Amino acid sequence: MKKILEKRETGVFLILVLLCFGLSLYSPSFLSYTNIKNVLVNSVPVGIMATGMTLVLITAGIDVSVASQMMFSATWLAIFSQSSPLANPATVLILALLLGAVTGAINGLLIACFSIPPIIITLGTASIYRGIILVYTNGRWIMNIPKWFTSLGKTYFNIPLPIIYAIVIFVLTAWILKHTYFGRSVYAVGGNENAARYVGVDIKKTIFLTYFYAGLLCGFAGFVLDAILGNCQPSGSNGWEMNAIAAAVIGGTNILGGSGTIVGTVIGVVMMGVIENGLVVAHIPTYWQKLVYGLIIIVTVTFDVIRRNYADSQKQTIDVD
Amino acid sequence: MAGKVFLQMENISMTFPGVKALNNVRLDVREGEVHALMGENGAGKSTLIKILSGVQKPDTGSKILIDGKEVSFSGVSDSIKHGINAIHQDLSLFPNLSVAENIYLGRSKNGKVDWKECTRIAEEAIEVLGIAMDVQEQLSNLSMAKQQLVAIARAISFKSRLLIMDEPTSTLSFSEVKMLYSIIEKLKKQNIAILFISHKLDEVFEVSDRVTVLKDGEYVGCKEIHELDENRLVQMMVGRSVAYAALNGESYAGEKILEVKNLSKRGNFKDISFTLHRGEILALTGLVGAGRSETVKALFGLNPPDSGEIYLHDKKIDIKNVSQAIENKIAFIPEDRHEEGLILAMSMKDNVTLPVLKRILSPLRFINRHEVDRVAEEYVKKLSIRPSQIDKLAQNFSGGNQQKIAVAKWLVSKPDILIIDEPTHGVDIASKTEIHKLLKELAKEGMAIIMVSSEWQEVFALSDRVLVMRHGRIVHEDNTATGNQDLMMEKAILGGN
Amino acid sequence: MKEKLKNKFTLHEIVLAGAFLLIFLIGTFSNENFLSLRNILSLFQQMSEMGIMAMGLTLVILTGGMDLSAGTTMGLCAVCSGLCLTKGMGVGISLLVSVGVAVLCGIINSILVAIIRIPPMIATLGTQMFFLGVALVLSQGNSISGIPESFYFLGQDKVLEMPLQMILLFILAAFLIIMLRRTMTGQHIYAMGNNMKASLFSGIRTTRVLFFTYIVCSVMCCIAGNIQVSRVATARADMGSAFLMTCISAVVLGGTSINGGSGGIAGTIVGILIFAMIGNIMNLVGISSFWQQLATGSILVLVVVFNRVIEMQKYKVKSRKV
Repeated sequence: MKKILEKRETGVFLILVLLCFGLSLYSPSFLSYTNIKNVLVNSVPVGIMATGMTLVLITAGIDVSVASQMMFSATWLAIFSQSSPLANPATVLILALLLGAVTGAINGLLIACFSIPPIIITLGTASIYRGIILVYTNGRWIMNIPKWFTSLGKTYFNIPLPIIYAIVIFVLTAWILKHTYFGRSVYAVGGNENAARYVGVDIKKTIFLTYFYAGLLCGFAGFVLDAILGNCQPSGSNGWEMNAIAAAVIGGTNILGGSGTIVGTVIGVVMMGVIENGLVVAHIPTYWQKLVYGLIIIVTVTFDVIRRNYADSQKQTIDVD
Repeated sequence: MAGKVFLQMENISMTFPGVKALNNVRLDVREGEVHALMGENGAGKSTLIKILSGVQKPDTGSKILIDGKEVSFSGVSDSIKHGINAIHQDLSLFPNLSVAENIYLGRSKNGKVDWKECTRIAEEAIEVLGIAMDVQEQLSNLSMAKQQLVAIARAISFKSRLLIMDEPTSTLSFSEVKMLYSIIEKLKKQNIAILFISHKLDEVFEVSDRVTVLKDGEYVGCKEIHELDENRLVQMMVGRSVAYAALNGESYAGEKILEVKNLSKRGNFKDISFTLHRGEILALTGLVGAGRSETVKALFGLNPPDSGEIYLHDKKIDIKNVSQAIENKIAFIPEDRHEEGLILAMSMKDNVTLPVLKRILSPLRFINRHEVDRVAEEYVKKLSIRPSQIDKLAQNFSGGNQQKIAVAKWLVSKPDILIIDEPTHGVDIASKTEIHKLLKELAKEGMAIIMVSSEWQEVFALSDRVLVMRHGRIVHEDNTATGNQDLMMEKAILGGN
Repeated sequence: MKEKLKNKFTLHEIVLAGAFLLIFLIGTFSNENFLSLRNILSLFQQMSEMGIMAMGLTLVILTGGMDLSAGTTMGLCAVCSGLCLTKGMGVGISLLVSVGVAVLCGIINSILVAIIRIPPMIATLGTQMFFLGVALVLSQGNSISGIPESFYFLGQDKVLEMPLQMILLFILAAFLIIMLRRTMTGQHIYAMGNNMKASLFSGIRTTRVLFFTYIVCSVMCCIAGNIQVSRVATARADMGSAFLMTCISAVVLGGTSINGGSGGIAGTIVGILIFAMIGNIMNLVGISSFWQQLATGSILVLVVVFNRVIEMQKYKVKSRKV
């Protein structure tokens, strides 16, 4: 019990509960089924990206190409579903994962093989992936995604399918992080790269797999996005990579690497969805969002860095008797 | 008592670019013995450990035998497979993970982690050590001593047959060291061999059965501990191989320039008081980790003290940052030229003038290029830096000449006090002698020099006065020429009494 | 001859010059208007904003830092001067307010980087979002139009047929080149980028230099922002967001090491010129601007990987020689 109370996730969760409580007092419609459903469903694509981002951040890396990767997948899926006779739910899903695998693998290879700062590489690949789909579609929206595709994003028996997808991804990723050698290597690499080498962790492989996995999830997020929206705007979801980073950071992932959990990220994602919705409910223009998220990132990172520097300064170098 | 031989290392050589770190070194370790590996800083101990734990590959011709069979390690996991586990000085643990996982990490079945197994292994290992610890606790919540125990538990959990402990007591308190000794006894009883690296003689005599001594990358000898006493061990470590020309025949010491009173900083040094005179070479010596570098860095504003006073020309001064130190005409030449001394990718002349740019600006606040060239040329001649190309990048000079550039860089500022940390570390003999002469020359010109050195021969040959540090305090002070040199060494290694 | 050439220029400089020539030739042959004075002048006009911002970034990157907030700093400053102008304040005061905001942005960045010691990429990633947020809030998410004509001079006036901002670009470039090559601060910037620790040991006031570079970078972004406001007669919060990528790419393409310590302003100008020519040619030939985004990203990735491979090879050769 004490341990649960000490965790950062608990604190964030309590804030989330308070926030929801406050909003429901302010506007009773906030707690309505439709509103909650909308908040959650709209958060799913970012939530899936943030899950991958969490892994990347734990290794002390960063991936600012996630939104581009998602749109890369979403655009080709939209085109494929409209034009190919082979298109059906199974092939679309496979293609989504394939596209994500390709973009993720390119990121992973470049970062792991050349040890170039990940932010530079992903900044570059972000504009490559985005550039490719924009050139191909000439920036035009792809409307009228087939019914069978959008039916994958609908609600049945009051249960929205996208939420099911998200839960599957969350549980799967949490399981990977907790129970696989790869998952523990992610923590090891981010916590102490040198020590990880001493215990025989393959650093390059771990880093590659992390970006690869993040790419896979982005591919899947593209699939979900198409299913929810029913259309695809290749230039859309600009800046969502920052939302994914913010969600992970709010949920307690240390951007300097070493710690973070999926549970925390999920809370972070929901929190962001609620803030966004709350702003609408409270008639505060949505552009306040960015300011708030930016501030949250700056403050939490400052806090983490100060704590780390303090811990370092406390290390005694010489045993003075 | 002596078990059969577990490990034999023969003809071990290791060549790094430009340096031969190990030359035909040998080592054998028997089952269930504590074998101490000793030597001064730079003797090659850590290189040998790195080879033994599979981090580095030795030159061809080197032979490692385990149970009489030749093996070769291509990675850390190979040496672990053969039952060799190292506990590195920095412990190499993961602060963000639990104790159990720190012990378990590195094992997996088909890429999966078995948490029950993890807890079981960790608890077993902790039990072997005979201590109580919650294995689910996060590592960063533990004290350094407890973390050390986790590192040991981790090593023995791999069914270790040889445990390498690199300076295991350096971060432990007295009672914690006692606990470590008792754990070492327990491990011995289980027939586990321990390779114990330490530069503290009392420890070595307390726990070890045999001692192997290295010096300058060479094998000196291997002795049973009861064949030795402290003096003979020190003799083996220090050796008398290289003798420098004694330059301290004449002392140029003049009036007092610097006085330090009761300088203290938590976890660094305590109650440091001494005086320094114009034209004097003051040696600050002691073992690595005695707090020498920390002390001199405090005088240069890199490591501001918590308390104490510094008087320059009998006037109290504050040195909170490097700029203040420079304004007070203090210069500092760090030991690590690559990391701290030079900007390797910049030219020799830019390096030499970097600390004094402020003084060679034209009226329009531009750098006076002619002046830069003139100053650089002057010091090339003065210190006979070769090749004498002032536009050449610092990284393209040899080690000895890089050291000279580092010296030149600070002479340009015409300091009153020159602090130099390990002036000849990693430099060939010829350059060493040249640097010694240069320092004496500077003293003759009236500069006050504080020299941090762990090379006894250098201290004896060059300095006028010696301060011996141990555990962050000055434990001995003497005149080099008239003092008892054996006593100085003893004080540094054994401390007071 | 070949040896001589090799000694005088680095491989990167040769490749850069080759790329420049190649693109120049493609331009010349693909469209007869490319070499016309009018086109060249408009090319310079187009590249000025990006060039000024890229020069500021060069300073920061040379110290081993990074300013990912450059684009949104530009947007924020643009919005500030836009608001002041439309509220009826004078041109001088509006510019002053805008520069003041830029200095503030620079101070925030340098406090995070130099004092709290957050890795620069992460600190400025946070401020990137924060500055954008502030700009959006100030402009209420709208683009600000109705900029008075008295402000048009900055982005639309010509002196001796030459666009004013082009002259500004070259004056600023000259200033920075001299600053980097001939002054103490310049020397300190290079030293810090090469070896932060040795710089500290040499008595360089590293915190002060970092404050200087981040503030200069923000002010340069502010100048770029105001030029654009003047040129297009509107101000928008996300004005500079698209610039950031191209600017970083140009800096790296121009030979400034992403880890700091080597490179310079001249290279950055060439880098920006290359990107401007690519854009210009695409416009003339009628290729969609989406290709530019693709090209920019590809060039960035190719150049960093290329530099890295060269670096790794050099290291290998060196260790073999000794």
